[in-house]
Amino acid sequence: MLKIRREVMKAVGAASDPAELHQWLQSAIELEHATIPTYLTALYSIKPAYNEAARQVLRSVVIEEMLHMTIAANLLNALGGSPRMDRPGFIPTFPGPLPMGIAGDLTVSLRKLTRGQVVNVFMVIEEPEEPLDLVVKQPSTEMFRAQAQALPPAAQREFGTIGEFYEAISNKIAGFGDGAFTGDPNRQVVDDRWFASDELFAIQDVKTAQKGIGIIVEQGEGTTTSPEDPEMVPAHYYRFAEIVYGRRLVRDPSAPGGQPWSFSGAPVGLNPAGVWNLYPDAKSVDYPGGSRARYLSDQFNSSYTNLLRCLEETFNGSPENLKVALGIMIEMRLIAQELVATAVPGTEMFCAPTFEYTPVL
Amino acid sequence: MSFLHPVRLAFAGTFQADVSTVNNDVRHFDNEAFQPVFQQPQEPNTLNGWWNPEGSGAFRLIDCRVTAVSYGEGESTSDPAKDPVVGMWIGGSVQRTSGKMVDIDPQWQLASALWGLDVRLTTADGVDAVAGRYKPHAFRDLWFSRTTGQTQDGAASSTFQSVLRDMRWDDDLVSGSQFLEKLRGFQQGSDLLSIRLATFSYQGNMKDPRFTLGTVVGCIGPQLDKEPESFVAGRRFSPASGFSSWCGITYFTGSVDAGSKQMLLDLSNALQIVDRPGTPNDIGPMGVGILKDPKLSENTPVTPDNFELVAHIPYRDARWLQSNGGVFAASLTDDQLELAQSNPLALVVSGRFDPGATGVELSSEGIVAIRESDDGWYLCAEPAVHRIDAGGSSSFTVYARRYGAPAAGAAIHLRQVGKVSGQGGGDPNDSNPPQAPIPDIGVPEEALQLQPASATTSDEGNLEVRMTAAADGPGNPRGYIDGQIYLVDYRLPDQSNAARQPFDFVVVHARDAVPYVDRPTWADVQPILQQYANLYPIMSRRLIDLGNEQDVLRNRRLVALAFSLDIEDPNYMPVTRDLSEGNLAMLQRFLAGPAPEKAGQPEDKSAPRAAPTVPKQDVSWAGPAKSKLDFAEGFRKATKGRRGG
Repeated sequence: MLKIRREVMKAVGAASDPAELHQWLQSAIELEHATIPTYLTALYSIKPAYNEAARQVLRSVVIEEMLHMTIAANLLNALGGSPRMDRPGFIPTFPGPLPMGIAGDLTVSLRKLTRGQVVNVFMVIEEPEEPLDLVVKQPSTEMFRAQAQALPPAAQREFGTIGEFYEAISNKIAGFGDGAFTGDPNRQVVDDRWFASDELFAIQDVKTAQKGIGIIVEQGEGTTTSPEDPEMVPAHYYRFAEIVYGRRLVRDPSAPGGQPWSFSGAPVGLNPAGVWNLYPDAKSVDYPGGSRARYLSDQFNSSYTNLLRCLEETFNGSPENLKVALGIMIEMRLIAQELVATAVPGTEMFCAPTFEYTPVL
Repeated sequence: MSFLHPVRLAFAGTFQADVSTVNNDVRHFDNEAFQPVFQQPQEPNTLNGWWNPEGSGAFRLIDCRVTAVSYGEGESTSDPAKDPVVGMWIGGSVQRTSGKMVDIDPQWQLASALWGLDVRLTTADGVDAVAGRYKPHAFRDLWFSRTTGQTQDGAASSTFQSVLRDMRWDDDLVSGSQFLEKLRGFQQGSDLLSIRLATFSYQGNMKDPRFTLGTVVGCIGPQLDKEPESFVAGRRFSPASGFSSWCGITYFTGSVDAGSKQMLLDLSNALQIVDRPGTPNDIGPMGVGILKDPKLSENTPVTPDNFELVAHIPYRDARWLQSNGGVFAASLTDDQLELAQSNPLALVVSGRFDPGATGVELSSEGIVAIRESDDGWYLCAEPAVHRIDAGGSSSFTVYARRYGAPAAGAAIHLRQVGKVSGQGGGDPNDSNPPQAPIPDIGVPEEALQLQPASATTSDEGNLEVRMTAAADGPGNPRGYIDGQIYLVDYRLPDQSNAARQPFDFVVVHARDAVPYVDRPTWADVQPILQQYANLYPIMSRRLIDLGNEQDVLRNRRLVALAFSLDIEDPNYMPVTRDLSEGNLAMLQRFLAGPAPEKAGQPEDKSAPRAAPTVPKQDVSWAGPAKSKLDFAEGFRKATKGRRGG
C-alpha cells in the first residue's frame, strides 16, 4: 500500500481556504503521473505479438492513470489553480518513492515486466486499505496471493492512505462549498473522443468534484466490498493480480470464502521470451555518448519532455491541445519500441526508457 | 538577401531524417502486386523495402548550437560573453511531435520538403528566446558527389531554405542580446525570419550508430518584403556543365549588399568535403572577386587585367562550415561595389590542385573555379511543389534577376517536360523485383494547363503563372497510384540546360477526380488504407493495421483524428500528404463513428489483435543505402538530350 506522509493529511485538513489546497492537488497530479513511467516501462518491454493479455492489462491501467491525472488537473483548475507539468521536479527520481510517499517504504523502479515487478511495485502502489481475499484457482501462483492485513485505526498510524488523502480533499472541498469553484470553466479539459463523458467531465462544483475523486479512488482500489470499479472493470490492484495469477478475474458464485469472484477466467500468460530484457533503472548516462542507444534514449526523453510541455499548455487554457498531446504519446511509443529493441552496448541487455527531463535535444 | 544578410546567425549540429523507404519504389503502390517482403530491409540481391522500411518520416534537429552571430557592417562574434545567443541551442519541435520529411511522390524524389517543423532558439534550460514554424518548402541544389570517397546518400548534400512563421520572442532574452535586438528590428511589417539548412554526410546504413543522422549547418536572418522564401534571389554561380565545376563546386548563390558594402556567398552546400563534419576538400588557396571581362569562362586563368580580387576565402580553417554556417562575407570598396553591379562574380583557385595539369605554370591569381551565370541571369520559381485536386488550380512566381537586380520585361518560356518513362523503380538486377509496371509521368499533358505559357516579367522582375487541373483530373493514367506527376520547365528562351540546376522544375501532383460516395463502406476505403498499410509498416505493425477493418474500427477515433488534421500539422495523415480531397472526405465520412467506450476498456481490449508478422530484427546485411542518386540518374537518363532534362 502507498503510505502517505502524515503531515500531508494534516496540512490538507488544516487548509483554511481553497488556495491552500492548490499545492496538494498539484501533488495529486504528480502522484497520478508518477505511476505512469513504471507501468509504461513494463508495457514497452513486451515484444510485438507476445503477451497480449498482459499488454491489455498494463495499457488499460496506464490510460486510467492518464484519466486520473486529467481529473486532478481539472479539479485544480476548478479551484483557481494552475497545473504545472513542465519542469524537472515534476518527474520523480527512479528508483525512488512516489510523491507524498513515506521515504524508504516503497521504491518505484523502471523495469521490464515480471511477476515480481507487478507484485513488489505495481500492486503495492495500487493496494487498497483492505484488499479482498479472492480465490486463486491455479495453485502454482498461489504463493503470490495477497494476505489481507487489518490496518490499525487511522489515529494510531504513522501514515495515511491514498484513499484517506483523497477523502480529506473531498471533505475539505465540501466544507468550502460551491463558492470555492472560482476557476475559469474554459480551462476544463473534457473530450469525449478519448474518455467517456461519465468519466471525464467539467468539474464546476462540490458534486462534480466529489464524483471525479470517486472515480480516481475506485478505479485504483475498487470498493471495500467489490474488486470492480463502478464500470464493472476490476480495479487496478486486481487487474495487476491477473498477471500475477495468470488468469482473468471473473465472477464466480461457486468460489469458496464468500467472495463471488475468483482468478479463474481466460489465461493471462506471461511468456518471458516475449519480454525484452531491459537494463533495470537505466539513466541516459548508462548509454555511451554517440551510441544508437543514447540517440534513441535522448529522443525518447525529448519527446517525453515535449509531452509535459504540451500538457501544461493543455491544462492552462488550451484544452484543444489534448489531441496534440495524443500525437506526442504515439511518437513516444514508436521511439520506445525502437529503443527497447536496441542492445545496451557491451551487454546482453536492451535499453529501457529513462524518463528524464530533456528540454533541448 | 534573406538569411544571406549582413545580420545573421550561424549554427551547426546534427539532423535526423528517419524517412520511410518502402514508398521509394512506385511499384510498391500496387496493392495487387504487393508482397510482405517489401516491408523488410534490403538484402544483398534484392531491395525489398529498401534501407529503412520502418522509418517514421521524422525530421529532427539534434545537438545544434549557435556558433556565431553577425551584426552587419562586418561585425561579428563567436564569443558567448559578447552575445549570449552564441552557444544557445537550435531545437526542433516542442509541445508537438517532430517535423516530417516528405517526397511529393515516388516518381519525383528530388523535391523533399519539411512539414510541421518548429525551429527554436533556446537556452540550455530549454527556454525559448525565439521560436517559429518552418514553412514547408522543398530542398534545392541537391547533388551527389559532395563528399569525396563516399557514395549514394552519404555523398549527397542539399539546402533547405524557407521562412519561420508565427514567431514568438522572449522579451527578456531578446533585450539581453545585441544580435536579437537587431534581428527583431527587421520584424516591422513582416513576421518572418529566413532560415537555410545545409544537410550532408547522411548515414543510411542500418548498422551504423548514426543511422538516419547527418550533419547540418544553418543560418537564420531577416526575411524582407517581397523576397522569395525558398531561395535567395541574388547572384547565381553555375558550373559550366553537369552538377559541379571542374574543381568540384556546385551551384550556389551570393548577394551584394550595397548598404553595408558587403559581398555574401552561401558556400554551405557548394564545396566538396572530405569527412562527416564537412571539412572542405583542399583545392588550394581560394579567392572571390569580380570578372572585369564578363566573358571569361570557368577553368581559365585570371590576370589583374580581367579580374578584381575582393578577398581570400579561408575555407580550409578547422570547422569552417560550422563556424559561419557556410556563409562567407567580404567587404567591398566603392569601386568594387560599382563594378559588381554589372559584372559577374567568380571564385578563383590557385596552387597545388590542378586535375588537368599540363605542366604550364598557373598565373599567380589562379584560375576561375566557378563563376556567376552568363550575363548574371538567375531564374527561379516558387513554390516549387504543388498538389492540385481535379478542377483545382495553383500558382507560382518566376523570379528573374540579372546581377541580383530584378529583370523587368524578361521573356520567360514555360512548358511541360512531358512524358518521362521509368521513374521511381528499383535496381534492374534485383532478384525479386516488384511485378507492377512503372507508369509514365507527365501525361496526358492537356490535363494541366499553364497560363500564360509565355510572357514577360513585371517591373519587379516577376511572372505569376497559374496552373489549372482538368475538371475530371488526369484520368488515373498511372492506374495503381493516384493522379499524375507533371514537371514544368521555366527558362529564358535561349537559356541552356547548364545555366539551371538540373532539378529546378516546378512539380505538380495532379490528383484524380473522386466520385462522391454518400455512405462509404469498407470496400470503398480499403484500397486507400491498404496502400498506406503496405507502405508504412511503422504504422501498420506498431500502431494500427490500416488494412484491417476491425483494427481501423476499433481505433476509429484515433484514425479519424489523424485524418482530420491541418496539412501542416506534423501528425497529418498520410505523412506523404498525397491523399486527394475527394478521397480524404470519403475516409472522414467512413470514420465518423459513435461515442467512445469506457477508458478502462481500451479500444483494442475487446478483441485481441491478430499477431502481426514479427519483423526480422537481425539485419545481417546492410549495404549502402539505395539513394536519391539512383532516382536522379534514372531521370537524367530518361530525359538525356532534351531541354528540361
